[in-house]
Amino acid sequence: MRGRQAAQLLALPGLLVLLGVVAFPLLYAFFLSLTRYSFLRPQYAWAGLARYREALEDPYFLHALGLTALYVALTVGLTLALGLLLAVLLHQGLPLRGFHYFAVSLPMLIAPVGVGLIWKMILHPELGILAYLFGGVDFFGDPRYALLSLALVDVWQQTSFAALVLLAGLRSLPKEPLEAARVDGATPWQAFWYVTFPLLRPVLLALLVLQTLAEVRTYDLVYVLTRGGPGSATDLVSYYIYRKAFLGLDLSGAGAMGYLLLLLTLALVALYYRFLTRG
Amino acid sequence: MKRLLSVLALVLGLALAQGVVLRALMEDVPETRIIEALLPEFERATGIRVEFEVVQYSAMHDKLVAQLTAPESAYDFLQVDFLWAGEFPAAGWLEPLEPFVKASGFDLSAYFPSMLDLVGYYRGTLYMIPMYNYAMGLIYRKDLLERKDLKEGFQAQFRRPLALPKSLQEYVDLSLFMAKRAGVAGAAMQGQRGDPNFMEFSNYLFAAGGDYVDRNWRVTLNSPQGERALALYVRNIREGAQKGALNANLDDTFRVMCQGGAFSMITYWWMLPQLDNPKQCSKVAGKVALAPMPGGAGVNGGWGWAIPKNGRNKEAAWRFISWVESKEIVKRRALQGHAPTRKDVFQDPEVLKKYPYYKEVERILAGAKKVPIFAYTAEMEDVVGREVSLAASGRKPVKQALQDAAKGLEGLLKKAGLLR
Amino acid sequence: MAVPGSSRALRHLAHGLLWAFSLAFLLPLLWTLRSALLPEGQAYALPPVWGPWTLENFAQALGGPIGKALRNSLLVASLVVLLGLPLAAGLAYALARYRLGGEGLRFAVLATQMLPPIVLALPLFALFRLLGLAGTLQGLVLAYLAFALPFMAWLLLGFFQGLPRELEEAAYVDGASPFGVFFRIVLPLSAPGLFAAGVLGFLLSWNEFLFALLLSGRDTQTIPVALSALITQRGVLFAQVAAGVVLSVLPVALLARLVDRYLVEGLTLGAVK
Repeated sequence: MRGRQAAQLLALPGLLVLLGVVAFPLLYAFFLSLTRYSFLRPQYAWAGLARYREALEDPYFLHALGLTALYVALTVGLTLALGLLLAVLLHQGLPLRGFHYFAVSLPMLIAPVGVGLIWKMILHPELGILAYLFGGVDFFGDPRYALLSLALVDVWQQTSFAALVLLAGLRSLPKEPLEAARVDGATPWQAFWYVTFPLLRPVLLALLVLQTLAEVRTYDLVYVLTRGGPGSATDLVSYYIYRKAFLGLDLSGAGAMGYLLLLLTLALVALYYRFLTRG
Repeated sequence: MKRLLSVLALVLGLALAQGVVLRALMEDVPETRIIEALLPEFERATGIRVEFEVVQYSAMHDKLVAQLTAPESAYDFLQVDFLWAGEFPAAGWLEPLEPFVKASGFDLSAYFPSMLDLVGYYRGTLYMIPMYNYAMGLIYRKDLLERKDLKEGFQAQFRRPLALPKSLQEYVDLSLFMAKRAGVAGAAMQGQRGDPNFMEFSNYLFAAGGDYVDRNWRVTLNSPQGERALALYVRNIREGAQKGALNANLDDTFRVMCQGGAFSMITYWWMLPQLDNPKQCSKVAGKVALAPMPGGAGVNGGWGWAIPKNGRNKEAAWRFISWVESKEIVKRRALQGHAPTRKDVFQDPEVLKKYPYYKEVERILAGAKKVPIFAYTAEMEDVVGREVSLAASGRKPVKQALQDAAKGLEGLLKKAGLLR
Repeated sequence: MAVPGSSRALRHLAHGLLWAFSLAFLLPLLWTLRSALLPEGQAYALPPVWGPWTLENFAQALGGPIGKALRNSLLVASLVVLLGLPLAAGLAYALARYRLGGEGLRFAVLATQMLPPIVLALPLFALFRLLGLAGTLQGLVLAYLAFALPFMAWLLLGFFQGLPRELEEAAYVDGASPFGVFFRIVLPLSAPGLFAAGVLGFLLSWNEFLFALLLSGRDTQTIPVALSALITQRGVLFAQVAAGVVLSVLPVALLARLVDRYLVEGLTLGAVK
């Protein structure tokens, strides 16, 4: 069927690039996770699933997983909610739209290193402007607040991107259903909830998955702001795996943990799709 | 005869080295700039051009590892931090330097034994030549020690005169006193988990008479001395340190001290010229001084030159190292502000006239102890640092944290094959 | 959702909220701008100073590694978008409309991005050294292309799925070919989505750190690497960081606004005949 062939042709270039550059490291990393390869003993001693078992028995790895789950739920939830609100606001045709659009687009363009350093100084308990004006809360040094503070800085940046994507989503929506609703006498809230939101679902879902993956990958901010501390209050799993590879010099262990993370994330995304794409 | 042959080989290597370009990854610090300024001279003398790739510290390890594990390294000689001085030789990435030393008659006796122990030998083989030192000591505000009201208050409370502390206990007492009476933090502490708090805590450990391991690599961390050290550390960081100390790193403590916010700081000796600089720290310039760690033993740190096994121009690289570490060049670097690691230059009158505090630095260097240098030193920093941070934040009792740290260290030593 | 006739109070509330958001995003950056205009030692003095103003941080940033990094980052990110967007659009459309490979391929495409970058970084570095791509911008573009592609495709998938099929079906009835439908109907209608995916691809390259660190040489640094170089052992050079951030953000944000206004809005308005 011509359509199918056309589809294959359209997809082919993209798939080729993926295969070439990504497949090799992926497969190699998986192979490594089945060995006892480390920088100090660069031999491929077969280990089967032992590295996976060790990872699951490592209390610090499990702690990192749990912490990350909490972190992802917090950041993704806040980012999507705030992003949606902001997108709706930007879509209203309020005055000075260009200015607001420009302001909203700023945070996402800052390299995470930059975001971390800026907020580190603003939130500094001794030298920060917030401490000067309102008295110092120890945002990153107090184990009770460190994770939350990290999450807020992350959300500050991610909401910028989410808002722009959802705005694009809103703009792509056909106008007819909404006009029909208005003619039928729906209130703004009803129009949003029963018409706009369902139409926006595919984009929302795509963004949900993207943000989940992005938050699971968080390690730049941890590196700049807290290095996993105080104690292990901000020891997120991507940062943990990074240390395993570069401090522990253990590529196989890091690989095994990475693949465990992949399985968990895959399961989570599958759950999203099971529960959020119905009707 | 053998010696003649090696010399001939070296000369031949040198001849072949004409027109060679050497590349190295260097840390982005003023000392590197000082050496860079001298490179044209080296090129004129030998025909070898040297190019530096200058990056900041936290990028170095990852970039070096990437090169050292490749079939051929893009860097011909290396600047190696003491933290990796066990990892790199253990992984077989460094070229043993004894043959080069013997062939060129390089004089190793000019170096402090503590430096050669730190960034020189690994398990009996010479892999590095020391090039920079950053041992830790005590920096304090001498003006606060002179204040009349504080002197009186201290005498009244402790029944002895206000003076430089001679032991760890005395230091923590003094710090807490200053925090209460002098309107500043007693100590600017870098409690951030990892390298910052590990290095700082190690000073407390050594000052209390403890150590991480004994000569046979058996873990001695959770001894009574270790417990006392950690207890005092936790007390100081909770009651005497600046706000936010639990997440402070070196940069933070420097700023606090620079703004006059603390009485003391246990830190790298090179902080002194930074703090004593009226352009940078007008509030404390002229009021700070350096002393060895109370108790006499502080932590040693430093950098060394090394040659990668998978490098290409090894003879030329050695030619550079022996040149840059020759007495004449080290002295010229020192006069520009690049602290030496050679005894003879430290004691040179011209150098001492320009940098009088080098006398203290030499004392600190001579008495400095090293933390265990082995394949997993960097990971040890993270593991022990985590436990120290947990204790400091009140999440774990001192005894438990110390035990977990010791257990973690034991695991790493076993992984490295040093313990059975 | 702009339903005319909604109460004025609601409109005022909306306006207020929008300003709250904009200020929340702008104020930290304005504060950063202030720090960028002060000499290094004064940037974080307390109480905050409002002078002496200086442009030395910007001059240093532009003339030094940040200036070069800015050019490198712009080049790399633009190439990734220009090359990746067509590839991603093709892939996404095939997945959306023809269910190519079924659910499996969709997840497989995304699964490549579920591994922490560190696990892939070293094998990729070794591969690139073999191919002679280490230290080059081409190598970086290729690596980023491979990582941005699944994400861009995934996002576009969402947009394509939201498109009503009637327009495409009408075009088929009129005798258009699948390619014609794709290029002349679907793409213009998805202009906002393409823009969003382009932004995503751009950002992934603009903000990525680990690969840039390993794969960059002296002259091929990108902005995240150049910024992190300001975290020195002698302290963080905050005023310079501030200047670097301002320089790397403002022109691109302006560009984004311009592209959005003239390209995207224009296309959308034009497409809805």
